[in-house]
Amino acid sequence: MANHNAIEIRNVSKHYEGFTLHIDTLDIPKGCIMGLVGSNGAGKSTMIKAILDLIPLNSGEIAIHGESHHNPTVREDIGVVFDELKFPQIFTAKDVRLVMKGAYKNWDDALFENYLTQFNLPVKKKIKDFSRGMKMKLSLAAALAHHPKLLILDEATSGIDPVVRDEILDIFLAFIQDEEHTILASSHIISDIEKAADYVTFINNGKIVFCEEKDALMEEYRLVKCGNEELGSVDKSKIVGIRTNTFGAELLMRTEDVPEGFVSAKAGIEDIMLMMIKNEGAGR
Amino acid sequence: MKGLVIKDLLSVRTALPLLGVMLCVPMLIAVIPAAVGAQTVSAGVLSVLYAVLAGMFCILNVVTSLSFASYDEQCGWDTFGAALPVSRAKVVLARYGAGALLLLGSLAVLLLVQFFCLIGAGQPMDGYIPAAIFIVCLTVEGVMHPILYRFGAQIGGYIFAGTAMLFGLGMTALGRYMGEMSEMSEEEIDALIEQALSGHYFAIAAVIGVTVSVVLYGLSMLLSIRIYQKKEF
Repeated sequence: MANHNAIEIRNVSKHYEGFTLHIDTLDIPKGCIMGLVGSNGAGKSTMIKAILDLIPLNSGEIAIHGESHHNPTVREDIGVVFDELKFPQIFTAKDVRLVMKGAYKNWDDALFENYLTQFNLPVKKKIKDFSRGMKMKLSLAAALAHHPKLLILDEATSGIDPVVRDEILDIFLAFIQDEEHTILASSHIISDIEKAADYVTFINNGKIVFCEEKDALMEEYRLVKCGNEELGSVDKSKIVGIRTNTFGAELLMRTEDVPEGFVSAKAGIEDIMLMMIKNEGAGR
Repeated sequence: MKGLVIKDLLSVRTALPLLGVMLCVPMLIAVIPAAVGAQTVSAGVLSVLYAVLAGMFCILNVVTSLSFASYDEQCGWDTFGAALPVSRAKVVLARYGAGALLLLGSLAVLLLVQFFCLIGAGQPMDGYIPAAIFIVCLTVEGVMHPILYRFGAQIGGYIFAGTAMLFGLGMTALGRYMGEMSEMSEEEIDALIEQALSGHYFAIAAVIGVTVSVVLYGLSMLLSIRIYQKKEF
């Protein structure tokens, strides 16, 4: 496998009772923010766990920076932030520093201290007394303080107020300035992905529906509003997704397929995602 | 791996003062009267007190070690720990290492306490109680760790409590049975114990016991590694 990608996934499958994750090919280039979107149970967390080698695969290969994900040393270059801070509640930021320092060769005490100061996090306060935003910031500080090249975030911004989310997004953008750095972030909050991501991967029922550059994706689709009479004149095979109401319908169509004379508007990622889920099987 | 050992020891640090207080009780009873010039507690009473507290200390030590798994489950550490740049074998090794460190540290303190209590009360120092504690703690931890890795802290806790209860009942029943069966008088039993203590029997038994428990602990670690390597997070 070539080494210009941060993550390369080939023919990966993981079966559970009633659910299968199957990814033929997925490359996440270095130097980008990849947003991973999808509904609950779509397979986002399973995919992240597969990448981190937290679950054994039924088949397939995953490489991180060109090396097998089974090799624990590849995780030296990965910072991970889960949806919760996974340290005992009696721990303080100082304890977190002690543990992480013993776990990562590249741990940088000064950088961790800098993040604590930047995030206004108390050093001696117990985690149990932290707000959710503070916990996430501590998670992020711990994930960044060993100079990772790849940051993996699993619903890291969920449940956090917009102000803190915005601060965290700024940190992501600063992190990505170095073109060797990459972020893979799964989130339910599509606005975050729209704001920060360079690429978007949409996963549904364990399969990747699309993986595209965000700007190209948003250019590719349009939302077309039409009345019930106009709807009859639209070529059904060109409709990617449809949302009907009493007055007519809202159609998701490829930009080149929008019929002349119809009013269309830019489609957001959320629109694309929701309408594709609702019209699963309609194809794109 | 160092980070994981630190994490385990830090996570149970709130239980450590209780262990310390427990050990201080016999020490204070032995030392304070002598320090203020009062009549000291009899050596026999002190020995019994020490043995009882050492037994409780042993139980607490085991429970503290087994709480590593419970703390991990509560905060979801397992998932995070598995994402660190450490092989799964080393994650397990760190857990066993932390348990062993806790035990050895506790035994060092226990020996210190014993020194103050028994020497202070004019009794000879021996290593039987610390050896017994080492054997019991290491064996119980060796048995429990694979169970905790396989079934988790909650079910593992039930199995531990159930086994401890059955063991206690079994020992009581055995004691009664032997008491009924024995034709020896109390004096004869005392003489037998005295003879055992004065000879090398206890020392040999202690060495064998320590060796067996260490081997068992090692085998248990290998089994835990196998279980943990197949675990999904």
